[in-house]
Amino acid sequence: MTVKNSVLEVANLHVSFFTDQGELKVVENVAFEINAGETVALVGESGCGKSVTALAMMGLIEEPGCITQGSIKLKGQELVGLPQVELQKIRGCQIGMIFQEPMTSLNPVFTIGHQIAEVLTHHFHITPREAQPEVLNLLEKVGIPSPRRRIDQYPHELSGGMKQRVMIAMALACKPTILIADEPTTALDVTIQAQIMHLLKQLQDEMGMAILLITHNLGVVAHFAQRVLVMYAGEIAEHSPVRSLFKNPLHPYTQALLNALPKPGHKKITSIQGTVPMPYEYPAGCRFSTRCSTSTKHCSQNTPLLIEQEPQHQVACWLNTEAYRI
Amino acid sequence: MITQSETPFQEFWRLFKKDQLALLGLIVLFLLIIAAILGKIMTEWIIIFDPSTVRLVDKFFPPLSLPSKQLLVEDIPLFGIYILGTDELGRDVFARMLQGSFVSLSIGFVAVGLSTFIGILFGGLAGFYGNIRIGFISVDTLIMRFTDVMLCFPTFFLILTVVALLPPSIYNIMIIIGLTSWMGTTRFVRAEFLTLREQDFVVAAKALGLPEWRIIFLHMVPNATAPVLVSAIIGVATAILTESALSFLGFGVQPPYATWGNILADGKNFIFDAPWLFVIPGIAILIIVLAFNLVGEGMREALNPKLRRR
Repeated sequence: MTVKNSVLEVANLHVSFFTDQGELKVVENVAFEINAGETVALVGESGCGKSVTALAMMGLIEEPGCITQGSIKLKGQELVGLPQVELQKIRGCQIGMIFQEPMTSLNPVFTIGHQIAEVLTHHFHITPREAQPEVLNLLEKVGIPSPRRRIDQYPHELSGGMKQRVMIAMALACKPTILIADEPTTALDVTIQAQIMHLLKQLQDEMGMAILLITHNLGVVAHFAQRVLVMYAGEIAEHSPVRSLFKNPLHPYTQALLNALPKPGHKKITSIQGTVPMPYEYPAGCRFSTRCSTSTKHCSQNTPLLIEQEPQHQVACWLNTEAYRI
Repeated sequence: MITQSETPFQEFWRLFKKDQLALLGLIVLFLLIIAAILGKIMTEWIIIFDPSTVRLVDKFFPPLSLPSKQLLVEDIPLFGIYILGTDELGRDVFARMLQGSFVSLSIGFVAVGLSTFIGILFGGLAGFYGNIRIGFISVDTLIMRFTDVMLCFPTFFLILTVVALLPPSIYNIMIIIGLTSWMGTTRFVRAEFLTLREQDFVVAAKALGLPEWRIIFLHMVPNATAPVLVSAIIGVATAILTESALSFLGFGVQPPYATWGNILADGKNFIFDAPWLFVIPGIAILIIVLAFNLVGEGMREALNPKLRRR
């Protein structure tokens, strides 16, 4: 990773939802970049802003939400503030996305062949007939047996794993530079999870796209990601290469997350006390301070910045800094 | 084992066939549509049955009676028999019924086509863009309150008022019935769209970069067809009834053009002398409305997701 070849740069991203309770800052000051062919994992609890970050990258934040600040650059092109018409050309073409629920992500009234072909016909302006060979090719690529028969089947005739493969085929139809996988395996059973992840890995090697993997499965992260972003309450808590994160987690939240994994031989599963605070009840200082075992008065008053504490390993925590000792 | 995959239509047909009454209704409808089309051809283009020939010597002949001997040769009806009798001017009721069947069916279909189109458009806009605000009011509120306002009018009197102002032609009647019967469809479509809008496949379609009009009309509308189709089929029956009622009151299609409604209206003056004059169009209206309703009910049953996979 000596040569920086980033395809996606997110800087200073703020997303807010304007509701009756006032402005809810769901994502604040998120910044990261993804290099070509790299897999970056975004982990965190439910409701910490992972999916909103992903939707912001797609330009799919809907009313009453909006991106209040920041920039998202895809291969140097600014996406924030781009008109919908331009975004539509980028979505599905440059950025592909797969979703958590393959069961409901396919339109039940069309055959899968029709749905994959639609992406191709729309983005490349070809006829469905011309798209047919490419659809078969894609189905084969994502490991669907006897694609000729499957192409005319409806989503309800396919299993969950199959549907997720179809979703992947659709997302990759235009050979995107980056694929956002929003919890791609959460709804699938364990054996299928592994198959899908291996498929993504294999397709990444073939096509060279970058993957932003959103998940709360740390096992998947350890296997497939090169870098990890840990999000907590709308902010990035820790950013590090996968090895050093698992070997030496610096943020108390990451440590607690890793401790919460069930270990063989241990009877008890440790948990993190409390829940993620709602956006309108975030504490003034470090947002994890209300649940952190090592928090001090300083933590609950001052917001820590994301700083590099070890090579390539950034943490937003007062622990291990001068301020903590005072 | 390779199971032959079943398209949604095949599945629908399999379930629909089980309902004997609906199947009967469908057969009746088919026959009526064929009769209406043949009737249009045979009464207006290639005149085999002439609904406007006046035979004053043969007035008030009951059904299945033979023409009288004094009748001119060119006035003798086809097959030499009055299948459904004659009216007060000696016109062949069968020929008039044939002519009227096309009017009734075409008014039903065109009016419902128009109301369904408006319904899908308004319902789709209200359902999909409901949250967007125009000034102080949201799109959803605007459209749905307008729908409520339209629903508040007693439709039939609204139609009567408009018909009284406009020349009573068949096209005006189609348009007026269409413009006053879209509210149900709008509500159906909006309700469907409110649930569909949150479905993952709509988000997925957006993530694939498909434009919104394409998502609305090519992805969401097909998912909302079931209730719309059912309400449209039943709506055809209502439109036919409305047209008959208008013609009966004399505001509908004007004589000499025959419709079931105005045959009925003419017949009411001779209830005791020539009962067939109102019984025949009355029963015809009954049958067609019943057939449409049975088919509509059968479709509702077959398209009900709770009954799928049986």
